[in-house]
Amino acid sequence: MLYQGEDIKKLIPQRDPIMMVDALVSVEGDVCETELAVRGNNFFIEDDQLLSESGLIEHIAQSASAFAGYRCVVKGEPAPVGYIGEVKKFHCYRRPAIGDVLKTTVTMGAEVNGITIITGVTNVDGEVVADTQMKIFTADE
Amino acid sequence: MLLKDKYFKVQQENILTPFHGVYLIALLPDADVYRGHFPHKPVCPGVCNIETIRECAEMLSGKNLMIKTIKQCRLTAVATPEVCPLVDVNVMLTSNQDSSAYIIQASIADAETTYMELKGELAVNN
Amino acid sequence: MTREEIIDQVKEVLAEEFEVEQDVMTDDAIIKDTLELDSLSLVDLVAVIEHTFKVKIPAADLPTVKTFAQLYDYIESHLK
Repeated sequence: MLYQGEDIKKLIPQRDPIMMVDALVSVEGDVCETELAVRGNNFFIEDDQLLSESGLIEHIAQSASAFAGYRCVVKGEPAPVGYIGEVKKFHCYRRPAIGDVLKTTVTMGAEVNGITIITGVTNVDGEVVADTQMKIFTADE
Repeated sequence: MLLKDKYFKVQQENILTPFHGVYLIALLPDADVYRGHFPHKPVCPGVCNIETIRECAEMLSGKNLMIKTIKQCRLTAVATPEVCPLVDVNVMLTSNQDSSAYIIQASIADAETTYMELKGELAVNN
Repeated sequence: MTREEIIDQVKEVLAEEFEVEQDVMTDDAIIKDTLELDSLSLVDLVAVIEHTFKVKIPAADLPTVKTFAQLYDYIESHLK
């Protein structure tokens, strides 16, 4: 684990109640892995006790944000604030339940003029539950 | 529903056809989510606006719907409860042959600005 | 890879990504207008080319890649 617990706040600007990453597990080149345990008090848990699709998207977006934050922090720069510019080719195969642990791989792709393409794949127990492409705008604070 | 009456409140429903509705909604400035997105700088989370579209589609169809795919969703302007306290959520649905899913085309906009455009597929939960 | 192969492959992947017919991509056509690119979909173009040919087009080089012919030139000269 590279960052977890309170330390994750050094990487992402989101705070309670919508922090959707527990840990940055690993970083290798353009790929990172993150984790989130789905708890009953998660903001995106619906009446049927399952995580909403929007929660999955937010988790992948914040995973990318943690990755971008990590890259800045290791260089001694402040973590940037990123906004989702586009969600593309998102698929939700199954909505995770309370107790599931989301393991997400984010790959950073092309960057042009402050817009970065990322791809994210989320697994639960080795089964893909969601995948997507996203474009993130990075705003300098 | 996750966000109805917590993050947004429907002010007016304009049901044009059973598959096309425009919902005028108020974005509630006191919504809990702004405590964390971001502290002292409330910005509508893009995913909350995606969820708002899904909930409006549920109201229009009267069915429980899951987002199966988002072909493309563009967040074309930053929305905040201050910048756009009232927005129109425009939802158009096309049912597939066995009524197990809808193609959705939707947008969130006010008179001046479009904040989001979404194309995707919603599965009907039984 | 020959230039003909590059052209065929570019047309195939761009037609799929941007949902246009292959025959609108004539050599002298302006990419931006033909594919209706804006700042977001421009990144898609760069990503698709990078994914398909392992050729990165840095933002600084984009002004030299206006037409489809210029795109083929760029890929041809940077292909490893």
